[in-house]
Amino acid sequence: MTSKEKQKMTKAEIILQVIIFSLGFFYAFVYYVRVPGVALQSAADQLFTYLTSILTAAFAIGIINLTRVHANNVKNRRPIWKYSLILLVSMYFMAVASVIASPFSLDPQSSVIPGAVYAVFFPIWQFLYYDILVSINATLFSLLAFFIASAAYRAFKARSLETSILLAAGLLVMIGQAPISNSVWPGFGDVRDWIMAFPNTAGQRGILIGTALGILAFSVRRLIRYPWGR
Amino acid sequence: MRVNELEVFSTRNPILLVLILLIFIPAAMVPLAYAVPIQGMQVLTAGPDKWEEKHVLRPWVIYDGASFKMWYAGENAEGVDRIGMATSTDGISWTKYSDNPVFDVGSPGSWDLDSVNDPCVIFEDNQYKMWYVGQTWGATAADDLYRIGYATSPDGIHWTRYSENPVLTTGSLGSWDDRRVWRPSVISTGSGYVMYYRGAAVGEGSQAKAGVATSSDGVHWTKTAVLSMPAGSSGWDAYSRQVDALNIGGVMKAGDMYIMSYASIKARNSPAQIGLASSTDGINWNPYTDNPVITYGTSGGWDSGPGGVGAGNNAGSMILAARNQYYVYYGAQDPGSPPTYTIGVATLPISIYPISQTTSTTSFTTVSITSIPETTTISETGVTQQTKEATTTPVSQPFTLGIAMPSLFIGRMSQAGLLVITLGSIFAVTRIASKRKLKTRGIPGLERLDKWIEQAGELKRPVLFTPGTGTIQTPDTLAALALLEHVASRCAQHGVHIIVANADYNVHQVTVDIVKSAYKKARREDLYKDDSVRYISTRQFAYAAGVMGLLRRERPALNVFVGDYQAEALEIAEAGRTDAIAQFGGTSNVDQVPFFMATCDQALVGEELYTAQGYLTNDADAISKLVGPDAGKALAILLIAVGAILVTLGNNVLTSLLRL
Repeated sequence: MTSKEKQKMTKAEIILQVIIFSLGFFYAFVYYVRVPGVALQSAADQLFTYLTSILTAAFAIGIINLTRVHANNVKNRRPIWKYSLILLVSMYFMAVASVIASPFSLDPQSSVIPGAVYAVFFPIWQFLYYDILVSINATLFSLLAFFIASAAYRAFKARSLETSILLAAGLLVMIGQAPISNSVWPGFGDVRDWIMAFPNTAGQRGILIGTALGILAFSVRRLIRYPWGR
Repeated sequence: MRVNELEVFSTRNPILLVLILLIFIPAAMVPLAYAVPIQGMQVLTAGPDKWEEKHVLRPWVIYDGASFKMWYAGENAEGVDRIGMATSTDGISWTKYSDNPVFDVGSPGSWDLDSVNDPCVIFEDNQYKMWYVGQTWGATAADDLYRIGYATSPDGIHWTRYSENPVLTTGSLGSWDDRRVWRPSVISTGSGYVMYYRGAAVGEGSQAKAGVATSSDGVHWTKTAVLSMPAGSSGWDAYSRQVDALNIGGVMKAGDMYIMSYASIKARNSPAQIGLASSTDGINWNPYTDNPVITYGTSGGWDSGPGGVGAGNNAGSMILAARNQYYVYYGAQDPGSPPTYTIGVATLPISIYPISQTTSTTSFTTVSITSIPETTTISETGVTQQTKEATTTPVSQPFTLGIAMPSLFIGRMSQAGLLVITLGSIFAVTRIASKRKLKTRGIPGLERLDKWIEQAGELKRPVLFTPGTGTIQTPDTLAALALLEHVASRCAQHGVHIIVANADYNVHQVTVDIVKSAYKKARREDLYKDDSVRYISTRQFAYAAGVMGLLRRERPALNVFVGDYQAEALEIAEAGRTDAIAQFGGTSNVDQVPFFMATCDQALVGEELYTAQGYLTNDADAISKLVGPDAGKALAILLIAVGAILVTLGNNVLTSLLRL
């Protein structure tokens, strides 16, 4: 992308940029300034509700993309087409089951869908949600314990001065956290607390301040420049 | 048709700075603009004396034209409340009376033997008159009986109880206040008195309401009305209005206007905030347009407890006008377990409810009521007396900064000011850096990104880009999308197939646009396929599983995962590491940074994520933006250093100024 190309915007892009800037200006103004007697915050809230509604509608596009990708896998008999088929069947069956018989049912009073249908679908929904989805979710979360161990193993190598300090600090915190540390030497707990309260907090705050300033510069840049796709 | 980009969008143009400043200029205009809600400052704490070692709460303050006097409830370890007094010359720094409490519980067998609190004091006829709440405890808290009594004093310290107390008691069984009455707020009319008070009915879940009573002598009262408060426009009081509860604080009258402070909550169990309301007749009230005016803290401070500010049976609030501004005193709880109540104050500009100079101090005696309906009549004497009070009370004191920060500079105004200074610094330094083509510090390892993409082209393997699980409103995600512009562009140039895996359906749409545009610009539309950009799942671990599957199946040469990540980042990174895929990560989430550092070949940390695009584009203007945030950092370091020194020396001016 040459510098000359970057300097050009179409008329549509300029209009878009003006809208973006105006809305950004409005929200910043409402956040910082209150004018007694003028319900600006209320207008901003309503605008945000409108925005949320539009954003939520995009969910359908996500589902369409998911369906298209995996339907193509099945259609073209790609190597993983069986998994794609399982995904499509699971996704749509779960959606139907949730609408018919779940705590999120569209007809909880059975005024349209017969009670007998509810009675059939509800145990299936319960099985799919609690016995499969929740269990798989918990399994993936539990895997983190092993991943943390393997990542820590790689990180804890005294290759340089910095990694040696990291290794020493990590060991002291781990020892201080272990129940047995108190019986070995009561001071381990204090050392752990000091490391967490001072060097650790100072480092985290340094990153946070830098991030806040980065966001500030980035946000202003986004507010005044054409955003994406260039 | 294409036209040149408007000059105004160039960051090197001073017009831009002016536009940014325009946002905040109104913030400095007094009294045209005023930001609420604000947080007040703590002015009175519990202890050290035993009688008030647990809490101080339910303040009542009067202003005599020169100094402030406060009566408040102090609570000991057994939960017994007594009333103490404190004085102040500025309404902020208070000195407790050395021989507190000035008002003790009643003698055994009396109606107020267990606790006395909720003082409401006026100065009239050369004596202090106090209405207060006396408690008789039952077997459970629900059985406690609250009633209102009366006492007088020549000096505010030595009190004499009215012999026929209590003067206002609970209603007959079945009435709205048949369980308890408390929190009196009395206005002298010259010819009589009007009392606002809280009341609650017997029965679980009954909500406290507010009532009005009138009296000709301050001791014989007639209940006249139950108040109702319309809902505020912003929904800050949604739950309180839903259950029709009115947590009345204090009522003052100035000129023809009644002003009330009251607390409300947005949802069940949410922290309370304080709002104001006005009325012309004392019965029909209109909430202030921009309620709430005082909010709770969130940083673990004195007003950060779950109950919020000015709420419940304990905290209380009251409002008075003095020195050309409003003072709202209130109780608030800290987040301790159990929480401790202390007393704070917030000052608001007189422009919120404009009242004249002669009436601005009428909270000292309160002024004559001209329109309380039904039972109150106005006499000539009352009007005459009010005029006399006003002339004998010095009121024309200037609006001074004093020890306490004026309300204008508390809350978002100070934030706005700091923002203007920071933005000014950033852009000033950016301009200088851009003009002089300053050499900036590099971001370690960033240049390797281009080499990896080039290698992916040679290996004929794809590049995987994952912007994380944040939404389109998350800053880290937006920074990731900015970086995607560069990565997609390079992929297109080197004929590399890029795969983008999204967790958010809105981010998905934007990434489709970015990738398509990049291939189109490089005239490599053939590389874009339907599955180049994929929507995986909004569920955190489903997304992680999807990306791990892509890493295993698609065998990318490079995994770029930058953006908003939580625990799923480590799973993705370890999966890539296992398959020996080059990994380029980045996040500003401090909890995840260690994992990125441990598992990635290169990682962007904190603000590097936001400045990476500028560095990669090699554009003089963009590169100079790396210098701008550094100027902001220098400013932050300066503020931290000065703030630390000032706090060490016992000066809280800077921390008060910059509080959030």
